[in-house]
Amino acid sequence: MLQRSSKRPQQQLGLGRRLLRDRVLLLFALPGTALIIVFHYVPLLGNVIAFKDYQPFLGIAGSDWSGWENFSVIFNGDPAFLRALKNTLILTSLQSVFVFPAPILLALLLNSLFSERIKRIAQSILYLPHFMSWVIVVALFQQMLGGSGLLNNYLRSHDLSTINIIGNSELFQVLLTSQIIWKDTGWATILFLAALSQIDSQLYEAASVDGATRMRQLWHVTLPGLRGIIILLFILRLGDSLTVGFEQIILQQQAVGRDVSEVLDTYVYNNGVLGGAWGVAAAVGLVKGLVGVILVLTANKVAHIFGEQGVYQR
Amino acid sequence: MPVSRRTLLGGGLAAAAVAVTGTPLLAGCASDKKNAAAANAAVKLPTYVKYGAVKPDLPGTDVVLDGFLKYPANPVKAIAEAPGDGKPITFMTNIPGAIPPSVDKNQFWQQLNQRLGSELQISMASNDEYKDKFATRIAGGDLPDILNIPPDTPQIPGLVKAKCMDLTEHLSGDAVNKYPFLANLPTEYWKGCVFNGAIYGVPVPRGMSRTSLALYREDLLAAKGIKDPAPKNFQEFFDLAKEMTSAKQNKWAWTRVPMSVIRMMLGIPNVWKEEGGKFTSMYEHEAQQEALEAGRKMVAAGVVNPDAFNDKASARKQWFNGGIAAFDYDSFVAWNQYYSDNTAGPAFSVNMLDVPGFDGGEGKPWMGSALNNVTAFNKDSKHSVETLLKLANWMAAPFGTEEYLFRKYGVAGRDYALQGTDPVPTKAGVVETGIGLQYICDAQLSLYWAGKPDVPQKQHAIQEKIAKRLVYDASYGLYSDTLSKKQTQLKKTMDDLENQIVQGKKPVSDWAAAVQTWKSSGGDKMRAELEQALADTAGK
Repeated sequence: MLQRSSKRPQQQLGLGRRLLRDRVLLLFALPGTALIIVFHYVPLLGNVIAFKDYQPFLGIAGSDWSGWENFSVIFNGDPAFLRALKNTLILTSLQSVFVFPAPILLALLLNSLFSERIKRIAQSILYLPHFMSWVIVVALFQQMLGGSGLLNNYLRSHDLSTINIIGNSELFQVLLTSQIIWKDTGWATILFLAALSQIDSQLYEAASVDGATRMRQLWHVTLPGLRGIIILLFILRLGDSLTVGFEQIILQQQAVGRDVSEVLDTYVYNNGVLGGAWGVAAAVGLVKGLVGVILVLTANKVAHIFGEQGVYQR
Repeated sequence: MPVSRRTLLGGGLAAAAVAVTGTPLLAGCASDKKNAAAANAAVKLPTYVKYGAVKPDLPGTDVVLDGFLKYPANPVKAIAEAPGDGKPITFMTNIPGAIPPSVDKNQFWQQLNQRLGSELQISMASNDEYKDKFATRIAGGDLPDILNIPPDTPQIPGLVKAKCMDLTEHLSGDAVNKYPFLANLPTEYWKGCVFNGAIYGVPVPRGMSRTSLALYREDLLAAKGIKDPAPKNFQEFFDLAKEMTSAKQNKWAWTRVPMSVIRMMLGIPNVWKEEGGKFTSMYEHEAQQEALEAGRKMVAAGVVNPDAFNDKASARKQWFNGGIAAFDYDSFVAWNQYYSDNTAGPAFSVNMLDVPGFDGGEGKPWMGSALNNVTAFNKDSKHSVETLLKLANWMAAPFGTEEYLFRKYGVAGRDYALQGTDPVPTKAGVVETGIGLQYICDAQLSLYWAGKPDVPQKQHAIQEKIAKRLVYDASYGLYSDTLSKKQTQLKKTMDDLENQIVQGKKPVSDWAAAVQTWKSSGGDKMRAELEQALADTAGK
């Protein structure tokens, strides 16, 4: 999928001929394109409410224009907005450092298992949590680690002091990150395992003939083989790096308070959907989207400079 | 489903499509708002005509609700004509209980449709999710004929002006007599249905029935040898909680921190207090810090379920019903709900604690908010306003009528079994009738529990005890633009801080600073507007 040859044959045919030639392929692409236009691009036009004093009952056309007023929370640094931004950035960095590399490590680990049987079983178990919804995952954590959960009940019945894990604002970011790792790491290994299986086994043979240890093989053969996919995924991750898990957070927000749990997405929800400040919420959402685009473009550019393919090519 | 920015805006765009095809409305001018209070006060509210056909066993007063020990024999059929017009009527609401079976599997609902003469199509969401549903349906411009509007919805005046029918000429003064059961709702409740100088909805009255205090499991306390508990001050209240806690058996006295009870002990106002034209908010009261200290003490002593801060109302109810907790802060409505959800067997029994003063004497209980919600009718509904009002009237037929019996208890033999004259709900009945009809309109609650005359007796007794001491929210029926726009968000910020303080995560002293922020970000403006509204309406 990524190995597109950069030297495509030059197109000599006219546009009409090309359309005619590719008509079947174009037909295949039609439903998907329509879907994206109707459900992604057309709704984007709704972002216009960021510049309006939007009232849902008046509709977009009926609401008054308000210029840049909605953006004032961003430019003037409204404390609630800054708090959401700060928490978002903290979670983004935690996720980049801890969540992103986890599947790579796990994939390497799985890859080093010799028994195919054990590997299959391990993979199946690891994929499972991905298919649970956040409500279930949060409830599971609650039942295990909550104040009246399994762990604390055990401690209490043995006269030991209890540990406040769920609902503890100091541990909230750690908890969120652990939940994501538990839920999605297994699933995320799929792409890395696929990439690992693409690495030519002759390279390993050659390396071991040259006397390379397993660590050196990892460093000189395996990781270079994974480099393309790691960079690709990292750039894609940057694109929605400011999306740090809406559902997961909103489900657990009440106990820990907004000081540590309000992120941009929950800010948009709490102020827009619940608070009725739709315009401000849209403005914040719009800025968030723009930041994402800028991050992707920059990261891609950097990847090009270092001679990688990145997400797309010019 | 996560509500991402995209889906959120998608809804907005649908609203745009409607606005283009429908009639775009201009936003209300500023001058409209200035005179809103005076205009609202000028509205002639529906005349109260009490429907006196059914005599209560335990007569109430203006405040105390009527109590009944038995369902009257041979209930009167009070409405002869079916209210519907033959065409389906749509309704959107929250429902407090379990999801009921759909209409094709719900005999109660099927028979309801027959009786109404119109198919009632109900779009439901659980209490926790209704606000999301409401906001998105409004934004999508996809409104039903009948709309349950929660009182804390932002900007109700603008909303009803743009989307709902003006009912003034059909309800104002004696016009309401055409709908005798709407006329049977005391005038006080209609105050909350007036916006922009017109009546825009019918009330779903609560008031006294929504008054909340400490509910307790009589059976669990009795098992510990405690009978008729009546703590005389906070210390005794606290000791009682300690006695009912045994963490090793995973039992905690309280389902949540009873902050409101503590505040009532300290005489803190019920939301807003008015004295000589000046308004003060509960947040500003000098005893707040003491209240927070007391709440903190309860959490630190471990008498509150350690998961109290994570969970939603549904978990709280499970703990109380399941005997994991012995105390809950809730209302008379919830008291009944506990009996209908009862999973603990026949011994299950609930009672309510009176509230003492913090250091002795009497506490000041808060009157429950007057309305559960306002129910408004869609301007673009194909039904006539008379049809919809007739339907609301049907839903408001009071206790003792045949309509009430059917509405609340369902189909005889299936949804309830008659025990003497008492309709005792069956399992099927509890779920089948839970379709949210009470939010179209409702009579004032009557104290009654089928087959358990001790329940209304206990309820009536505590109501008589507290009636004289009730403290009212002075802002009810007064319009403040800032309040309607910002109240929800500001309250959430304060609740959030309260949660952190009582958990011991933040110092009590943070409260004062938060009150300052509250004032500057809208609190002072609300106060000014409320004072103005009161002055504008004075003498009218």
